[in-house]
Amino acid sequence: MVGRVKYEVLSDQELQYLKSRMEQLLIERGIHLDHEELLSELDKLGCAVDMEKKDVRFTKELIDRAVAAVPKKFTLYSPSGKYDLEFPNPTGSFYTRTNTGAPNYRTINGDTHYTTLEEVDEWYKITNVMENLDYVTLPSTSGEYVPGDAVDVYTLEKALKHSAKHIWIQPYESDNVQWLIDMAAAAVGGLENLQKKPIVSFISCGVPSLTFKHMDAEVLYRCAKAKVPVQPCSLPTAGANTPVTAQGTAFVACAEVFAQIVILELLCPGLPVIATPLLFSMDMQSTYTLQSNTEITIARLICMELFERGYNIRAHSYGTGTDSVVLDAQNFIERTNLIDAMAMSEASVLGGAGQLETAKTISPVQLIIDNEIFGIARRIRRGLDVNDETLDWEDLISGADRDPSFSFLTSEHTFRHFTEPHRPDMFNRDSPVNWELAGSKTLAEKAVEKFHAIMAAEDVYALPADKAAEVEKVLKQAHAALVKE
Amino acid sequence: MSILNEITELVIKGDIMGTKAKVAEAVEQKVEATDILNNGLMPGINEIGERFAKGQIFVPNVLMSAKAMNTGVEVIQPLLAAGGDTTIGTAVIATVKGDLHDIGKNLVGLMMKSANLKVIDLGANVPAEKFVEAIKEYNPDIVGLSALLTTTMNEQGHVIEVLKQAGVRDQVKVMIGGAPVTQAWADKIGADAFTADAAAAARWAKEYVTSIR
Repeated sequence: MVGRVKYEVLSDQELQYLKSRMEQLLIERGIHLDHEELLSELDKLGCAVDMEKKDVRFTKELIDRAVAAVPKKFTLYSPSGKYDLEFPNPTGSFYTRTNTGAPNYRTINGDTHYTTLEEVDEWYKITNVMENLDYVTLPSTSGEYVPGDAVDVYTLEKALKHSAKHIWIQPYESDNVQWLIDMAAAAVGGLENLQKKPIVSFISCGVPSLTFKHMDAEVLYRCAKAKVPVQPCSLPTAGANTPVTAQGTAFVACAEVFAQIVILELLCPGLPVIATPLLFSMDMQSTYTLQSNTEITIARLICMELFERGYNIRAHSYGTGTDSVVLDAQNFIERTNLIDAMAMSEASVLGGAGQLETAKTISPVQLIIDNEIFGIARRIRRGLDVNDETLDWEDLISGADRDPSFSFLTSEHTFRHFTEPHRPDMFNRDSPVNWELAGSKTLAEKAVEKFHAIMAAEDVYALPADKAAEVEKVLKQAHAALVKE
Repeated sequence: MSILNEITELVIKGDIMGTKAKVAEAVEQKVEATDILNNGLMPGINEIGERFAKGQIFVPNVLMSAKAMNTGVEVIQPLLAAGGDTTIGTAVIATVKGDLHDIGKNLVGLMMKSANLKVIDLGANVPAEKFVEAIKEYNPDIVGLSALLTTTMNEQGHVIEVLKQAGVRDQVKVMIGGAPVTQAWADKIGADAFTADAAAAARWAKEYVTSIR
């Protein structure tokens, strides 16, 4: 039995109600889309398009056709070939990824500053060896260190050269989208190879509610044309740009994500997509945007269930993170509370590894600890089989009769199963005496030690030199085209 | 309870229709418009400001009370001298060019209005030249620049440079804000103030315009 422990947060009636309302919203109100080429294409495909107002409405027939076109099985590939991600996950588990969009990097010394390109290298050296981390995003390198017009292109070059794992790309400018696709294609020997084995997927995102700015529409358009997978997002903030209720915010987020999936599947039937609603809320006293509001956590489960159970579309949301600024008790309460809930959701992907401060800061120490947390959460999702073998029925009913000296410590059953319990790598599992003898180290201190060990070791992956040269060629061309000196 | 105290209580409650009706009733009773403003409406919004600062109420309370007060002001505006402008200062705000995120900027605008500032909102994705034009047109005390992205925060510095080149930098105080923005960044680009949230932005703006009046 695999992947068996799951919450059901929606009744069948509620699930049908949400589906019906979501489709009604796209049919009656529709979306606003700032992209003339895409509007024209949707017009040709049968959508009701107002070219002047840039509004699009869908029909039930188009929605059904798009949903039917979503592939039920697909694979996101890894540059190294060692970490390919088959969807649905054959083990019933979820995949995990790093945080995206944080401007700040917190070093192991606690210094927090805008992310440098050198720190991007450091980040991938860690992610490559995190066994519970399945794919990566682009850290938000600062425009202080690379040309501000091409931050995403410069960071992707680093990712393609150093990440052994699948790369999820957040573009920052409309003009950059095609360059990012071209660069990923260069890393695998051309677009055709990228289409066969996509080592990258893209982020597109709505601006609540139901508005898509040019850059995100460009992602949808270019990726559909290039047949490159997309994980369409929505990042609403309850009370600020969506209803203050977590349910209302979940609904808007799902509708925005759903609209993007419909567009992608109409343009490119069969394109791999993963629905990615990432919910936030506004604190009504500080006005600060929060990630860890309790109701929002439940709303994330609603979103996952709506897509996975309601449409058989793979879904993705936050699985870790905190509103705390530091590695304190609040941080670990919030992130373990979230992962425990999300591990038992329908989610196929859980993200946010390494983030602090509502996804505004990434920390290598936190990343290494999140790797441990993900390991535990995956174990929880897997559940426990119940049968004669796992109960050890034979020994219980007749062990002592067979052998008067019978002991569980020395039994065959123990020998068969003793490696099964999950043992987090860095957790203390020893007596206080031995813990003191070993230096009285905290979890964070052990994570720092692990960081140093990773940095001292050889990197486990590098893009072959010929492919790296092709990537550099695209970077130079992109720089010439994009950077306004 | 006097009619002015009743108006104060209605503003505190955020009762828009009640405030409007009670102010109209006061006008009918020949209460002076300035009396209604200074002893009815203003004490209400000031009390709300104090309660918010103490963490006793929430942003929606402030915004509804501000709406109630503004509705009351609309009733007496024609009766007030000097065109009836009751605001304490003017702020021009916008999200800088290249950035379409406007939640933070909108919140700052609402909180500034609640603090009785006149707010000229230029919108999102606003080029530097528009700030120069707005300064010349509206003569604001404050210019607020919002940016959510590390890629667009550089534009905040660019706007300040353009204000200098246009010779209008010294006419205004420049405030900056946004998720990646810090005090160090404000110092680096020569902004006058960085505030971490909308309420702090409104507080800083109110204190500044009060100090120069």
